[in-house]
Amino acid sequence: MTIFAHETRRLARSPYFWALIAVLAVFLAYGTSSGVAWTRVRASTIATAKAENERATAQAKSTYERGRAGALVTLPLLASASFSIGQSDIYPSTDTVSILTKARQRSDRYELESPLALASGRFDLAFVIVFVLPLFVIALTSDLLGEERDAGTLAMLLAHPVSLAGVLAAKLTTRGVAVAAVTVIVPLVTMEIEAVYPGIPHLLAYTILVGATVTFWCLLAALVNVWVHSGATTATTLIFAWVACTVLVPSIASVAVTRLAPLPSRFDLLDALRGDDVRNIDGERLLAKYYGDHPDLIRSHESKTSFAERFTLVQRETMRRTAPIEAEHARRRRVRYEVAGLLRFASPSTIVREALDVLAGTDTGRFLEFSDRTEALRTAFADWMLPSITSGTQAHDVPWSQAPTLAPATERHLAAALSPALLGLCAFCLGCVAGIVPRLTRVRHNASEVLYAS
Amino acid sequence: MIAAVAWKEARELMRDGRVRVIGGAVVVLAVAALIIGVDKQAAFARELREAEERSRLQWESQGERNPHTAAHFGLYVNAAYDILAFVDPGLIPYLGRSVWLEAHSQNPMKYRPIEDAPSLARFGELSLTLVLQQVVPLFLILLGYTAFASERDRGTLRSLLAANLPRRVLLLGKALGIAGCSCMVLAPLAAIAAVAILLGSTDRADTGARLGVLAVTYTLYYGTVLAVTLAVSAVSRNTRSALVGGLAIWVTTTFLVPKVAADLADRLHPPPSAASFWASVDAELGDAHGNSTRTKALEQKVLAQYDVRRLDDLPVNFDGIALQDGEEHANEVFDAHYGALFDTYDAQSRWLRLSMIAAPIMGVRAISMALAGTDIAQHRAFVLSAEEYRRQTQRLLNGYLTQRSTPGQSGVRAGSELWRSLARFQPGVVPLSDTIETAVPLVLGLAAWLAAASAFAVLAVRRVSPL
Repeated sequence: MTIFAHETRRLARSPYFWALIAVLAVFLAYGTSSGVAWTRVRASTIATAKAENERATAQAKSTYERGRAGALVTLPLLASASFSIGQSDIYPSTDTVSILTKARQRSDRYELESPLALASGRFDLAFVIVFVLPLFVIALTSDLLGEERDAGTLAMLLAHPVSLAGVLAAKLTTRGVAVAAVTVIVPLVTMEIEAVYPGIPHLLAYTILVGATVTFWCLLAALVNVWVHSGATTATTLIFAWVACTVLVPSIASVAVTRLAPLPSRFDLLDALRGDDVRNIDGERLLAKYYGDHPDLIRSHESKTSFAERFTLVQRETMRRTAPIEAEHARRRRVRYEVAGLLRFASPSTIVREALDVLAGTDTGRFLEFSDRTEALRTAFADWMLPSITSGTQAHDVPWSQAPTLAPATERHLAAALSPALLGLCAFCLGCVAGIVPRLTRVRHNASEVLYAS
Repeated sequence: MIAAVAWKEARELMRDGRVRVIGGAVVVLAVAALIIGVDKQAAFARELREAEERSRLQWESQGERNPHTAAHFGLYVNAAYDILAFVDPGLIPYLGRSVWLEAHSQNPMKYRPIEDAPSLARFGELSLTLVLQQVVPLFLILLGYTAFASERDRGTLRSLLAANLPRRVLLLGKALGIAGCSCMVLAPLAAIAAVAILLGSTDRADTGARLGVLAVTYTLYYGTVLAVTLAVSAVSRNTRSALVGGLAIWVTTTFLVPKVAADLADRLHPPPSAASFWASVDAELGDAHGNSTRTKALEQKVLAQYDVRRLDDLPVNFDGIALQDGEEHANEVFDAHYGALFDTYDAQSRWLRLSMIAAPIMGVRAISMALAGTDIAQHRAFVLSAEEYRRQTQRLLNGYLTQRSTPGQSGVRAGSELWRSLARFQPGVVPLSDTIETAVPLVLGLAAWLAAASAFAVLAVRRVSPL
């Protein structure tokens, strides 16, 4: 307790410490406001898409036109979306299901996001926690023992009835708690100013994640401190660890995922979507067969079939023929996602990043699940519309309230979704502890030798 | 004397194992990145060739059908990249690869590789550029941070200065020693990479010139990093401060500035949301199939031109004329909207280039992407060429409909002869001269950075204190 109080006083007097904390606070505030701003852009995009769909629906004069306008489906924004922009700048949060194939939907052309912004990545809260926070922890902890050792005070300190583990714990706790507190408080204050309220469970989960992240980097610093003598080498080793965790391991893991779980070529997919099987769909023949199967839908007052009926049937038939190809592509994408989910455990940084995405509801898994539900609805909607269009039912006679709707999202319990990440971080922390403990006696012995020698 | 200082510095670096350990790591990463890049390029080139052939075959073998049905069937054309694009993928993962060219609509490019990539790819893909732009500067910092600081720690700086060794000689000697050690690692690597790239290139003269500009760029950049590292080492109180200072600059300029600059660019020049973009386009397009007041006016004009009263009396098919008129109208709408969208991207690019004032890496990135053909300018050139090809296709098909059929003749058919008469697509590329024109101010900017960093180093060494 005395060491803890001593360390707290030392830190409080250090302008270096306060400068670092201030800079970290600025980064956190900027990252949070960036996330909030992006969330508002997403909300506005969803609102525009809704208004556009309502306008198209209101302007539709016939059942066929209403079927073309379709129904808008949206992936709701979570209140905690500001924690991480995640994959939300890649995958759209809205889609339209109608009698048209996916390739003919306007919503299939929602790829206007600036490639420059995408390539640089977003400066959001997740970026600060994954990339920047460890650097601040390193800056505060790289000289835990080195400075005392260089100044010759370590041996004197250990001559007192204190354990080295106690000294390390006190030094780590003071620094770790300070960094973690700022990392939790500043985003909360920024969100409060921006009038964003993520909810208690999400805030709690965020706090636990930040705590686990700071703990890992503090323990890693302790590990390097007990194994490496020079302060400069300690800092170099920690920076190498940071580069490995945040740059090298994720980029190598990404290459590994694409090799372990290859996707069918997009060119092959295109080829299949436009191959003979689809190209030679004959609308007239389809319609004749359809009316043969459904004689009750033949309109008595018309002998000549309309373009709308033929077009709708061709679209539905195209969907039917291309469905297996698209389903196979979706299946392989899911396999890739599962493999990536396993390889994220290669680095604590990727674990934290994925966990923050899950917390914000901007992870790949949520978007893939939304895509699966949307594709199921696309087929159901087209099937539901078909009899109304082919029988010539007037738009006002169609029971729109009975139209199929998006299946509810699979319920995700926050604790269950974040447990693997926390367990992964715990494993990394235990690995560090396992490396620290056997070395403590040796460090103490070396320090004692220095004292006796002097 | 300079040679003696350089030799001593190099020998120390070799002796303490830094060159061996860190240089080895750099070599392993660079070779792995090169192998992955070359392999990807070979696979992609093969896929692309096959896809182009298949797309053309599908177009030519679509059988007899109405030209307007063929216009809706359309074609897919794909972006092509040379081998340098796999050295610096730049914006490729974030840009669509294929575009569907059909009647009435200029579609955006689809199938961005990032959509299929694991989320891990957002941390950055392993590429030679990642090694050159992020890892090699770190290597230089780790070689150079001890240059003056460790001499001061050991007390040898005092003897060096007491020996009346000119400080400029000391600086130059140390710089040459570190540069020599770096070259021992980087020069063979650069030679191997250049040979591999040239062997995989389709136009070796062009690629060679681009590699030359890249070599100048990286030389200026690494020179700047080295000069700053030496200056920091000279002004730091001890080795640890020199290392922390060097690393802080590296982290700030390599990771933070690019993110902040991109974030600010996106806030200052936000692109429209896709929903609002298409809503505006749709509102201005109107009905493409000729039920608008615009078509009525055209009808009157054509009747007057041919001096007839009814469309049935025309010697040509009015449907073809109306469809082409709709295309011309749509072209104006698309030109305005896509033009504004690309102007926004260009404004963001300019902002990012300007941010090299804060970090030279921004200039290096811009030059590298421009030379690799993976920047916005190249994307725009491709999109424009694809759109021109789409318009050429529509003119051909609507012209056939106009000239080869009569009004109301809905059963008009065209065959493979017409499909084959469409010229093959030639993707637009930014010529080397334009790329170099873009690169020159940036290279000059890097030269200015090197001059400023060198001045900083000279000043720092002039004021260096042995204690």
